[in-house]
Amino acid sequence: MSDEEVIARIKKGDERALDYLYKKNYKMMINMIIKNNGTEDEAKDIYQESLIVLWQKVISDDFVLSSKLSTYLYSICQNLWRKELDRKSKHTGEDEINKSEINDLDKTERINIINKCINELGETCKAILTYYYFDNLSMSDIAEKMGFANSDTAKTKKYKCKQELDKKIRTLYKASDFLD
Amino acid sequence: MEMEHNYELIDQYLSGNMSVSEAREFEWQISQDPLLKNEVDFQRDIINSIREYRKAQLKSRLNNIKVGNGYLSGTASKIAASIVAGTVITASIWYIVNINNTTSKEQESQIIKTEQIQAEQQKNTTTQTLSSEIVDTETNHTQVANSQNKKVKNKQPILDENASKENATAINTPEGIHSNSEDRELQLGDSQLPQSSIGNESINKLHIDEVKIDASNKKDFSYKYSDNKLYLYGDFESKTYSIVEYVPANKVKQFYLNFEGKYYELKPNQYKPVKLRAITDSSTIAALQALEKK
Repeated sequence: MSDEEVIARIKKGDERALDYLYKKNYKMMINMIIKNNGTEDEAKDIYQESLIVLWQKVISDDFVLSSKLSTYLYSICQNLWRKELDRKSKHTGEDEINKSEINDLDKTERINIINKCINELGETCKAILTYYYFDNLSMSDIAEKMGFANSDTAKTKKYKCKQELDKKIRTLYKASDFLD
Repeated sequence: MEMEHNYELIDQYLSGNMSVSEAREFEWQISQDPLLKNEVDFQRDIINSIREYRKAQLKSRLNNIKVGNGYLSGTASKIAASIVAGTVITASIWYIVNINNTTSKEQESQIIKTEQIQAEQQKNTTTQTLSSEIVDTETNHTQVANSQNKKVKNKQPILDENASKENATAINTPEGIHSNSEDRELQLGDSQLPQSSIGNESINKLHIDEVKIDASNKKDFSYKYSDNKLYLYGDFESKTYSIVEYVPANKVKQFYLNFEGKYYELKPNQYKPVKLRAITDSSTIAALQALEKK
């Protein structure tokens, strides 16, 4: 698969392009991290994160590939690993983490509620909402992927799914006194 | 109506579907309207969570993809046999798994150099108890390997060259590697082997993925390494041979070739063909023979 083909597929939300990239560059990326003091598990984790970052970059509207895709991926991977090493060297004391956690307790609970509600959605709704909000797919792309008649159907479904999700979340928020 | 209008705007704003000027205008509105701000914050949390959900989904998808660890990723699995640390194997096809076989070539050559020095120092050490084990991932392939063994076993080993009496001590019949006569190449298994079968391999970076035979010149009795492949030059097609992995007490791995009753050291860092020289160190020979008897 050429870089152009991979990019075109990612833009259409085709996860197989991601699988392909993952396998193709696995050795190089994992080696890079292990050589730079990472464990195999850390290497895998960072590499997977890097691919997702790449995926997000590719689907953003202003994406222009100025090098080989593997070179690009390599630089993402390097950056993420550098950040991780940085984080590891800074976060030796636990106090700091706890402080920020306490301040964000409300927020954490709210996010938990949202996640719970997302998980309770039907598979179709989950797919539509993730394709729309994460993969940046157009309504006609979503219609094609989901087998809907046209982009209008996709748009209506997306609206309904989002309403359902919002409603669920509001109900649970109310029960937890998050809404005034 | 107002609410619905807002919903559309918020959605466009948060999913990045607004022009820069539209977004700026909308942000001004947000700053003027606390209710609108609340709603935007609420929606932002939801949309971010949807994105996180998708990320987790993609990540778990990737996590389920099996990629061979290291050098052989992508190689079609033909026959897989592994050698456990501190193990010798004389079956026809073999492969050494290595948790840390992810170093680069440059790194590896450095490691190999130090291993060699260590190996020199360790020549006189006694061998640890070793056992051999073949881990096969595909039963059919093992059967292929077995049948190849039989084929080779039936061939009469011919003694040649100036075998010293000391070295010519009878050893158990070596099960040789017999290469495919058409392409003279052995396809070895990939590295998808259970890690539980791998011992404390961390020092043993050295491994051989494949053995290639060049029998075009039968007098050319030499070897070299390239790309984790071992190349043997000489009459290795009609006669049996085996490769012994010897791990002395300090666990620095070393390879030896058993050919016609003699052992030849396969020094790791030989990238140009070198003559195979029989080893004379009696304790090493004894250790290797003991290994092969197992």
